[in-house]
Amino acid sequence: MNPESKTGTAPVPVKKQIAGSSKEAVAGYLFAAPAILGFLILTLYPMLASLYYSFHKITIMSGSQVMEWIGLDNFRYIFTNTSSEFKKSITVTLLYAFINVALVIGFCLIVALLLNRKFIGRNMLRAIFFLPSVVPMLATTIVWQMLLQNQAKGGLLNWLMLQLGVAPVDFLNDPVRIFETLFIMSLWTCGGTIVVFIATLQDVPGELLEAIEMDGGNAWHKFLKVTYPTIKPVLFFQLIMCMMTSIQIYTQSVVLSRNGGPDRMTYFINVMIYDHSFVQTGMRGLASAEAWVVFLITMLITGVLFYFQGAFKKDDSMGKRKRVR
Amino acid sequence: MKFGKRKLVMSLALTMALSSLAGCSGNGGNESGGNAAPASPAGNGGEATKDITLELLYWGDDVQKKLVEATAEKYTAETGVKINAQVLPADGSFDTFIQTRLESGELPDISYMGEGDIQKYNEMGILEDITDLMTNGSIPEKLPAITIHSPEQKVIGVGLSNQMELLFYSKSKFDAAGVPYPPSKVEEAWDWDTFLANAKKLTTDTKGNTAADSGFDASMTENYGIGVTAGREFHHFWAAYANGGGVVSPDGAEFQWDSPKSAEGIQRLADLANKDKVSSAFTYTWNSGIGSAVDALSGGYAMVISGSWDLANINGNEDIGVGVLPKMEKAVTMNCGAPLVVYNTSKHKEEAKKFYAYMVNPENSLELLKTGAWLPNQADWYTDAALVEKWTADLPESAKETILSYATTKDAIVQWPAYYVPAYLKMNTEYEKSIDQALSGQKSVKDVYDSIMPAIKQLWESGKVS
Repeated sequence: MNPESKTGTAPVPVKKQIAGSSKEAVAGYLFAAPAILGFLILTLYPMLASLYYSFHKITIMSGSQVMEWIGLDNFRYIFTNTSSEFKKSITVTLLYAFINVALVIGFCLIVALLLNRKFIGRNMLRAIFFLPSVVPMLATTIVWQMLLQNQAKGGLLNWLMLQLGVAPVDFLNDPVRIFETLFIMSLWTCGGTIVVFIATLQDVPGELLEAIEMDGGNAWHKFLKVTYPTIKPVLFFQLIMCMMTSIQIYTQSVVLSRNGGPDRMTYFINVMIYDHSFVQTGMRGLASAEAWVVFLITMLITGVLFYFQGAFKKDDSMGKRKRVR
Repeated sequence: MKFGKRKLVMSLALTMALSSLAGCSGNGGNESGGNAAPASPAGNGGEATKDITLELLYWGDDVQKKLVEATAEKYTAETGVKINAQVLPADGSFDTFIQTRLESGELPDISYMGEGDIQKYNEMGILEDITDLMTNGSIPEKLPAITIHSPEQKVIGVGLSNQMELLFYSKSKFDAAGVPYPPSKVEEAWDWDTFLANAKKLTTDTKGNTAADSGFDASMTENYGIGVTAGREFHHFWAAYANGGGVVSPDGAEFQWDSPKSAEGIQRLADLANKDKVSSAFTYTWNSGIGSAVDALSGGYAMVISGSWDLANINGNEDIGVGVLPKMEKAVTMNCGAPLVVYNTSKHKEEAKKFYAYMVNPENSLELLKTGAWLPNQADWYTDAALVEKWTADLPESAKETILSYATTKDAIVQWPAYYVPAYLKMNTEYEKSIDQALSGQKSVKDVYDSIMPAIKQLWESGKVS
């Protein structure tokens, strides 16, 4: 297209134009270079290296790394060897992740809906819910550990229960109760998600809510017909992010037990991979294989979530709005 | 466009080159790292040693940091060899740090090392043989229990301290319950029934009933008779040996872990929490226990089984007493003591070995010995009255008696198998996968052992670390 026809100014030579856009491109690439290099060196290279490692047995002899090609043996070990803890680890990880996602998304949505209403002290409450999320997970876990430990060790919650005549609960050493502890900590630190939901709820068209009210609809109708379709994309995004972070749970387990206790119920997948890679000997190749299997499982879960999001798209927010009108 | 691409490529290449250079620059200016190029040829002696800097990596709290730094400064003043002492927290991250340094080819000259890791690093071939230091008299004979050998019987490390498992107790709680204090001599150790009966008298519910009373409600326990600081390793294995079993015999020739007596010993520990209801629950971790013995005794515990390092926390608290562990078939305790190692990647091996000999000399860690944080690693420091007086003056009398009794009673201290069983790390990993089921009372120890011991025994038979 001739630029003269649009601008009415003197024609710019094509060569100069190309040179100008090239300069812009170079500048753009240079600005992006740190991020690109970071991705290439710190993400892509380790990923490809771990794929390569996953087909090897890696040992250190005389201070040097010795790699022996073993084909698919590491993957076979993961799925068939009786000593492999992969199945237990992935089971407890996914169990934690699915329940945690349901709890966090449900809890954050309810709290966000409540905090989106107008009442005195709303801003203070928003700050209170958000504050714990800025505390590092390490500190949060230590504080909750101190609160939930047994009364003889000074655990405040169990001491209070004892004073009220209620039998104390072993939150930290019981294989089932430990999950309750993890969920409590997770809900305690989900303020960021609440803030995102509150911000999204500001976009819900007030006139549509009023219209439903005039048509005799109740709060549930308002949520289902207007609020939910509006916040759905953000809800989906938060769902994915929460699923990712839940699968990557690590700090809480390490602080509470270091070895995945009690009874390996917190031997989450990242804990196991770290353990195999940096604590045990000769298992770094196995750890790489485990990481790749987890990567594929995570991709699969994300794909399933995307599939459902696609199904939702058939009656997206615009469509709903039109129907309501 | 061509020009643009070329510029882009050049810019990226330049950026990458600069990044690489930046990444490498850490080595260029390093004069102290273990693998850094020496400022002068190693081992030249005289003036040359003044240009040598050895890197020491260790863990410890503020007290230990000050003491180690003081020792390093003293050594520099005496020899001219500079010591770059780097401290890390004593929180289990040390091994990861060593692995990272190993990967980057920057191991220190000398470092502490976890007892359970030494055979692993020996198999990796990075530990220096220090047998010559023992044979040439640079290091006097150390306690056999903390002298660590490779499978080929080379000495690869000596424990800086001789830590052991002890029974701590609160005198006021014993007085209130009318229970006599635990004995501080091995030959007078309580038998298990006496220990259990006393633990019951010291366990109370919210209504003031003791576990020995018929109206005791275990679900409303307020104070426990006994607590353990952690459920694993020597906090746990001593019971197997005390009951006449073990893990692996001291000569490494006999696998004892699967014996009925070993299982019964561990079962007795598990029963304290699940059946006898005199202890709070614990699992096979470092973190599930009750933490500091002194804190626990000032809280809801009357007795605590913990390592001797807790002596440092007593700090003049006259309510705390120390006694010997209860006996089953035998009265024994288990010991540990993180070894110091020299890396064979050091550019200054000879100087590193000389500093090593200096560090493991109890005379140079006297301040730590006096607090009880460390116990001497040499036999004569337990028998020579003058030497004994040097480090025990500030310790509670009961602690002094207990430690000396263990140290001077034949076969009263058993060595942690991590020191001499090459496959220990892998065996222990298999163990910890399932033992919580027994410690939490879901299954009996025997049932758990029946399912895991064949695999563990196979690992032991392999004789290999990895």
